[in-house]
Amino acid sequence: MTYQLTTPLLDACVLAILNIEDAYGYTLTQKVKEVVDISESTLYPVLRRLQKDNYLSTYDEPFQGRNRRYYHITDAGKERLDFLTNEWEIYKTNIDSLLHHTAETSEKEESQITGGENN
Amino acid sequence: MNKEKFLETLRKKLRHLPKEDLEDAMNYYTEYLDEMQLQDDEDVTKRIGTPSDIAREIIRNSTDKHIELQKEKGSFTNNKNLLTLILLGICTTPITIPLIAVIVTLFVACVSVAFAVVVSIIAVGVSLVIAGIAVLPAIIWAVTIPQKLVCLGISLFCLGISILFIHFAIRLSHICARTIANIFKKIIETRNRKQVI
Repeated sequence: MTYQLTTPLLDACVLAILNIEDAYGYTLTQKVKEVVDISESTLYPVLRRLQKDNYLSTYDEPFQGRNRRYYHITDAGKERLDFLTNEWEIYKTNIDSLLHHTAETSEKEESQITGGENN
Repeated sequence: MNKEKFLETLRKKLRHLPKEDLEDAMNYYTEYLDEMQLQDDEDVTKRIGTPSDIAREIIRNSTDKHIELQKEKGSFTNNKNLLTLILLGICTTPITIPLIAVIVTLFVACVSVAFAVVVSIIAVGVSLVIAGIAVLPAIIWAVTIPQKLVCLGISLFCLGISILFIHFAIRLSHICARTIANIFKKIIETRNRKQVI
């Protein structure tokens, strides 16, 4: 993994997944793991914090004699997700423009050199 | 370790947390491990990590929140704890002050002894050098060649041993200095680690 997942970005991923549908700890972790390699213990503090900040609510549902705690995104959570998504778009665009611009510039320089030699 | 042992160990490591945080964490991981549908004796740590790792994460995140909550409840509780600590500190001074004095004295004594040893070794070395040089004129005064050679031998022997002694003294002083530096470094490191946690 070349790039590290920062806390706001992880928050955004969790909120985005829960925005589609409610989930309990295990499936939530597996879904995040599909995209980014996190350890099994990463999500619990994140979920607790989002809950304390009132971006998530929880409810319990019994399943096969045990209990499943589902996480549900609140309205405040949806606002937070919008904010984080917007921030990510800006960040992504800036980085992309820098990386692609640098690549383009070096391509142009190469073609100028070869063009000069042909003359 | 299997699921039962894992949860048992985790609960033990989290026992100092506030009850709410402890139960919440245990519920989450009990549920999580149930979902994993493990075999009875399957090693949980291979898939999820050790209870120590998980406990550390939980405690780290919990203390931040706890400090915030304490601030919200109001500073009176904090002041009461602080006052109690100060009073306790004052009451135990009959023990702590002499104890600290003993430790400092011991440390100073050890350093002084090391210093004295190094100095005496250097002294021996220097005196041997002087002895070696002092014997040199005897070579001239000696009558026969064997006598001259004996004197030369004694002189060189003294000089040789003195070099050994001085070299040894320098090595010893380096070792002492490094040991003292390491001790201080360890003290500073443990203090830093306590502050980070």
